[in-house]
Amino acid sequence: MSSLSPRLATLARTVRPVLAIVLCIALVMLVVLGLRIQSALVGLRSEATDNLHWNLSQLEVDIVRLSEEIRVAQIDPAAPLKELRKRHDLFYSRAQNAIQGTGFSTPGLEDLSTALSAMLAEYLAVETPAIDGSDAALRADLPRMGTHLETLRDGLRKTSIQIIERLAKISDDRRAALSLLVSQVALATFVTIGMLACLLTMVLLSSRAAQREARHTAQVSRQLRATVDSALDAIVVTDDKGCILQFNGSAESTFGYKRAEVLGRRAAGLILPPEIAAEPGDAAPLRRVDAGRFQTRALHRAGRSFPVELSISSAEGDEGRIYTAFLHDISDRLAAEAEMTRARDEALAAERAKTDFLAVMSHEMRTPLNGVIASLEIAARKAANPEQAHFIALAQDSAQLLLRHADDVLDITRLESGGMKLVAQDFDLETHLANLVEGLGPVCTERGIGLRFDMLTPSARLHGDAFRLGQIVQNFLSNAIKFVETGGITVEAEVTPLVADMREVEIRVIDTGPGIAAQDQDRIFQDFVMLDPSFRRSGGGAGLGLAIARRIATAMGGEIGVESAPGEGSCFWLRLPLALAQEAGGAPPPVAEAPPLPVLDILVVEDNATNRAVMAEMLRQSGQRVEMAVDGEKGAQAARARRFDVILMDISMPVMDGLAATRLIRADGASRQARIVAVTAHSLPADLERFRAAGMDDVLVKPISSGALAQVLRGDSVTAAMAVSATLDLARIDDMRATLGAAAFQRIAQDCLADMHRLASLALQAAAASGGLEHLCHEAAGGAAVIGAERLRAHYSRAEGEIRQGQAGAARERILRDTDRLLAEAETALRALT
Amino acid sequence: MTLFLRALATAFVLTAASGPAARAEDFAAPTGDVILTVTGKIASTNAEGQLALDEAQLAALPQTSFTTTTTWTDGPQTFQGVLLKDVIAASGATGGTITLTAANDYSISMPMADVASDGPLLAYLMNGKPMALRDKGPVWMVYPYDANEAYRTEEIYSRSIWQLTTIDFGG
Repeated sequence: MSSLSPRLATLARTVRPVLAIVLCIALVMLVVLGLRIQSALVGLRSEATDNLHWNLSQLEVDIVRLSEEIRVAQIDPAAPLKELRKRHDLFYSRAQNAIQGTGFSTPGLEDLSTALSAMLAEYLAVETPAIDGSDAALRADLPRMGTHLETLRDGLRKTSIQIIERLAKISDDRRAALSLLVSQVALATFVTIGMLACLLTMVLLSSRAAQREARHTAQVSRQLRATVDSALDAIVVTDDKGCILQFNGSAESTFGYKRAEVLGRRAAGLILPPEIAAEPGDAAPLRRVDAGRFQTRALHRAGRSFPVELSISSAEGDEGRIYTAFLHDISDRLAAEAEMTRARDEALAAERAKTDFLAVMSHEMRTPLNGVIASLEIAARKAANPEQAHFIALAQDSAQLLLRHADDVLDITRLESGGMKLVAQDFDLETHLANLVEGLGPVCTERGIGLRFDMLTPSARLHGDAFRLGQIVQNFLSNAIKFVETGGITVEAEVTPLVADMREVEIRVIDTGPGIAAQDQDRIFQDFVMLDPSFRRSGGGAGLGLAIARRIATAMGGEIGVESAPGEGSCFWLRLPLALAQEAGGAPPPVAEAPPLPVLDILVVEDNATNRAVMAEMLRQSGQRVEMAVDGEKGAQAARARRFDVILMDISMPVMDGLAATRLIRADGASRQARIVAVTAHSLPADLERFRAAGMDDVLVKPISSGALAQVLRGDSVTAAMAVSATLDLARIDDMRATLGAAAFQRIAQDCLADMHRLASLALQAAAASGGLEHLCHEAAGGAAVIGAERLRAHYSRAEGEIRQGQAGAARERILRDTDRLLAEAETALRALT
Repeated sequence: MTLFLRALATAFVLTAASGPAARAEDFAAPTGDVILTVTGKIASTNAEGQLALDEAQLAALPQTSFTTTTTWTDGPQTFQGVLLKDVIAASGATGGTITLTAANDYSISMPMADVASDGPLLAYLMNGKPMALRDKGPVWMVYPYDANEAYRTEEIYSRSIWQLTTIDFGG
């Protein structure tokens, strides 16, 4: 039914015009036929003829009665002729009807009526004079008149019969025509009624279809309304002038308006912010029609604007185009996104902090190690007996191992932050590897493992970081030595040409160890992964070896990998692209002869006896005059009692820490002008600032290298503590970059520079207002020191010193005069560097 | 109310005016040839139970004339004579049916009610001349066929009796 009805409706729509036309034609025919019937009826009714039959018979009757009178008059000559004359007159009168009247001139009878008229006229013309004549003449003429009348009667009869026949035929024709007409009318009527019936049926069908359509539309409309009302998105429908037509429940809660309040009002300015509404012609939102989702701002009834995501679609409605906007408040989502961004930033910061922490930790570990190793070295030299020497040697081995672990971790952090530097040099591959393998020979012999080195191709002199290459191979080898119980280790090397003077070096370390399962072969190159934790005890290592090797190989543009199967040994390989050496041989770079250090009075404040001893040893070796103090308080006392050129101050100490001691020394006493250098494993920028703030001039980061120590001692220190040689402390910057990694340093430098700008403007204000300048200078000097902006640091330190010595005017003058210039200079120099 | 009273009054006046006794005239005996004889229920007579009228007497009655074509003549004809209703009034005739008879023994009957104010006319002059027996005279009862379509019917044609001699009011 549902499929039939539309087809019927379509058919009805197609046929309707045809039916209408046919109906019109039928109606016109009916009218025409009706008119024709009416005219036929009128013709019948207003028949202009007397009854022709009657006339003919009366004519004959009159003739008969006249001929009777003629015969009577012939039989009785004495009879009066009055009756004869009357009969003639009556006949005459009757004949005149035929001659003059229209009664005989019926259409179709003209010839016969004419003949009849002629006959009658001929008789009357002949006989009337006789009738009107004398009686005697009339009597004499009677026989001829009788014969004449008899002739007329015969002719009349014949003509009458013809007329009757003709009339009958005409009547028949007319009846037939009328009958046909009536039939046609009946047919037309039938057709009309049929058409009307068809039209009625169609109208009924259409009406039912329309009702069904209306019901369907109403249902769809209800469903749509329900859908719109229950939609989670706010739905706003507007006409092409921007007036609101629909506003669902979600829209009510989103915008705070009731539906009734907004219907018919313009959306622009009401729920769209004025700046969007202000765009000419409201065209701006319309440009986004059917263009997918986009974000904009909307207005709440309370006046606040909030972010929404919306899409607009348009459709042709009955009264112009309508626009439907689906939208929802995305404040929460944006807030969540902001939160996520913040969390991610925090996570990244935490990651950076971890890296920083690892860097610091490595230093922290290396500081005591430094002490241990140095002490052991000294102890070994002074060993009293072989037993002591043996244990000291054991301790030294352990200390070296520990140092290696610390270095591993440091390597990881450096590699991670891109801080690893490759040092390219020319070397012979075979010689380099042979030396390396040979060095491990004794260990292998000890464990009963065979170790062999095969150079499979002719060797080559190459240009690259031989040390790092060796580090990787050594890592492979030490792993192999750890795992091989019986059998042997083979090192194979190949050099194959790549392009031009590039060569690919492949080095394989093949062992007969237990092998590695396929699923573990990727994992072993990850950080802190050890397949058998038990080896930590026996073999040592933090599980970082292969991870470091992989990073180094990657940094050198090569790769490493393993081919292995459980029970069949392993083959670790390294492939590196290396350039051929440009020059055969090549002398090692000349070592710069360091100028002798000035002899200074140095106070070492250090609570840790070992470190104290080591530092004292190192200083004494370079000929310095050294005094010791075991904590901050004692250090401060010593410094105030006697003038020192340099004070090396540990930070974390019992009784009084380095910072407090420094403040005391700076406050008063003989050594207030001394160069105070913090000695610490704390290498974080915040710490450095703190040291500067306490009045320290420099920082030595543990483990202390003799070079760094020499620099501190040489650094124009005592006599010109404030003298500055360069804009930037490049040594310090290099040290920091090596320690923190280039990226981390750059970050810190950026932050510090921003801070320096802030401090500079504060300092300028304070200098103008003459208040709080000392503290600002101190802080700024610390900040400048962190990023190695030496001249700027000296500038602030000097100002600080001047204020401290009661020369505030000079300090203010200095700040106002030089700050901007020096800051710009430092910034330019730093940017050039990074 | 006024209208109704007026209509009633008019009806009464008309009835009174056409009442047989009121207008019935006294007729002397005819002096010329009798051309029309009225018999039956009549109030006025000038012979034994009948009213015989010569042309002069007809001419003395209210005259009416009109011009019309007929199916029996050629071209328009002007007829003059006395309307049948005037003859009825003059003779004080009553009854339901009028029977008219012609010299040729043709006869018709018609109800009194069919006598109208415009016809039939008892014509004795056609185009100003007396009609001879040959011209359907001396009296021809005609209707104004051209003026009124209702008179162009077979029945009226059959009632158009010529050579009329006798009118009898009966029934």
